[in-house]
Amino acid sequence: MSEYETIQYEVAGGKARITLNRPEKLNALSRPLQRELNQALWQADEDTRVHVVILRGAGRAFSAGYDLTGPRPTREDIPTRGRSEIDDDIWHLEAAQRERMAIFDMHKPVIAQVHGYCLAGGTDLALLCDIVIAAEDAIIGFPPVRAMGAPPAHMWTYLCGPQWAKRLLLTGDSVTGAEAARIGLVLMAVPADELERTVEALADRMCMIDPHLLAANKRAVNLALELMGARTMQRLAAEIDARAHLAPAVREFNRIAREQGIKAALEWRDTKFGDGRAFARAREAGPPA
Amino acid sequence: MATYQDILYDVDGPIAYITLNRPEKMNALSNNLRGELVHALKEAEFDPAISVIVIRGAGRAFSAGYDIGGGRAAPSGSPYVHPKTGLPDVGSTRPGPSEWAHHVNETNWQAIWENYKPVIAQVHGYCLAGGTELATICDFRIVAEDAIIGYPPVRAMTTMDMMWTPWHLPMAKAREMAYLGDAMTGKEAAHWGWANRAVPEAELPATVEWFARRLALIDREMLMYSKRAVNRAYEIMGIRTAFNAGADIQALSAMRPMGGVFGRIAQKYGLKEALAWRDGPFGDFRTKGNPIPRKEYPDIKPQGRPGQGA
Repeated sequence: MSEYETIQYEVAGGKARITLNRPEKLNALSRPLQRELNQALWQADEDTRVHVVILRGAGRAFSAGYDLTGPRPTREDIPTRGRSEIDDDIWHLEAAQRERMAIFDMHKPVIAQVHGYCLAGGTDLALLCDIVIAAEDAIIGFPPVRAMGAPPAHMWTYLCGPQWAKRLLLTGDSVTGAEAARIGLVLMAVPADELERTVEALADRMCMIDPHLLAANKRAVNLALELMGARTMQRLAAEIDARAHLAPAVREFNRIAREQGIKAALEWRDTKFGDGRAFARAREAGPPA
Repeated sequence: MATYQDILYDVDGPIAYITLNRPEKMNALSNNLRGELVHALKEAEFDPAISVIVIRGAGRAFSAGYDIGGGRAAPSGSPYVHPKTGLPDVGSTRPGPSEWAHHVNETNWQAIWENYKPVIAQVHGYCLAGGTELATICDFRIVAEDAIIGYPPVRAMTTMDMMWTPWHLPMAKAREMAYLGDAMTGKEAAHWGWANRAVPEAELPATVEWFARRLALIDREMLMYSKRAVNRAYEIMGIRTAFNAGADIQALSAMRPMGGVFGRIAQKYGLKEALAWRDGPFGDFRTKGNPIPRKEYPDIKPQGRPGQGA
């Protein structure tokens, strides 16, 4: 029943399951995938059978982040300038943000079912969901802050507080699902083989409630977040990411990527951080021997 | 170039003119017209030759408001509205009961507040209800001195869809307009700061063009940054959250027992009779100078809108 190419969409028993479906790419978020995700979210919102949406990933990961290899978005009917100017950069960041914000703006709750890698752009999606449930061994983090920019979405501070937000965003280090639950970044973590069952059970409880009431209560919490500035913070986060893209380190990353490939650039970015685990003890946190 | 039915799109140098073009309906904002407007605003935003966008109305008015005379529906197959809902599609078409205010706010917000280019509303004649929301979300308003600007639906239908008066007027005046629905003239609007300036109607087009060309002396990216910085200040002051909260309250106001009376009178006796019932005692708009006492309709009970719960 899915009319999508990069995601799977199914409705059953009051639940819409949206599965990011590029497993060979660890569900890297290409522009077509982001667009299809947006369409599927609104489709679920308009479907009167649906009470709740589950967002999950096919294969080994929820999502390893934005697709760094795909073609740049263009409009065929007008000449575009590519992505060279800063306002083009902001435009593209904001276009993606408008699509992503459907998670926040739609009536129905969205539960993120996070397993495996949930990195960079993967966190932009997952942390915007109403509730995140993770596998204990999931890996959650935003390593691009080491050499590429800042998260264009920012729910970090609201979820885990300013110190943990800084601990993760000033190092690009990651936490496991179990650690993420400890600091409030996700609601709870369960063993990987219980993840789906846990998420489905929570969704089933929401299915017993009139969607209009779910919408009212989601909106109340959202307005509380908005009064704390969360919506405006998303706008500012995209602008700050565009500004971060101007850093000399980002130019260097892009040069290596251009000349030696994206793998070499990622190695240059990450190797010195070792396994990059935020909960590692001090002696383990230095450069690898 | 797209073909439009309810608007005109003209380019003059760096200025894109979008003309609301249903003069026989006082440019009532039908869903198709709103969809075309959203489309045209995007065209102007993408066109590298355009620096400034002007929205104006053909005929006697800027706009008398949302089309409540049965003209909301878009023609089938219109490419400017969502195929399922018949509403302009800006991501959310906000389906579900009592979502009208959220829908129109989101449309105005995405199309104009979020537009990278400054938008000027050129306001003459009537600018009422939804017309004020469209003009208010623009960056600038230049008005005819004798324009009539107000929000009469608050007298009997619902609160404002987009609660703009607290952002543009001193508190006492903001309350006056939001509670009473009384109109201000263009001259008063400039006095209170809602409009940048008011001029005799004959001078309005030339004044708007002069203002737009001054803006166009500045490079487009600079204008984009200036708009962005001012937008962000108001967002931090809470404008978007306030509009969202106001839309929720608009929905509540629609649910009160009296909320369905206007619609039932209009359904049974026609829109003109309903407007006379609403505005007659105030002696303005259609009954200017000749107030008529509010008529009783024993056959219409205050019981909320049909199908919208208690």
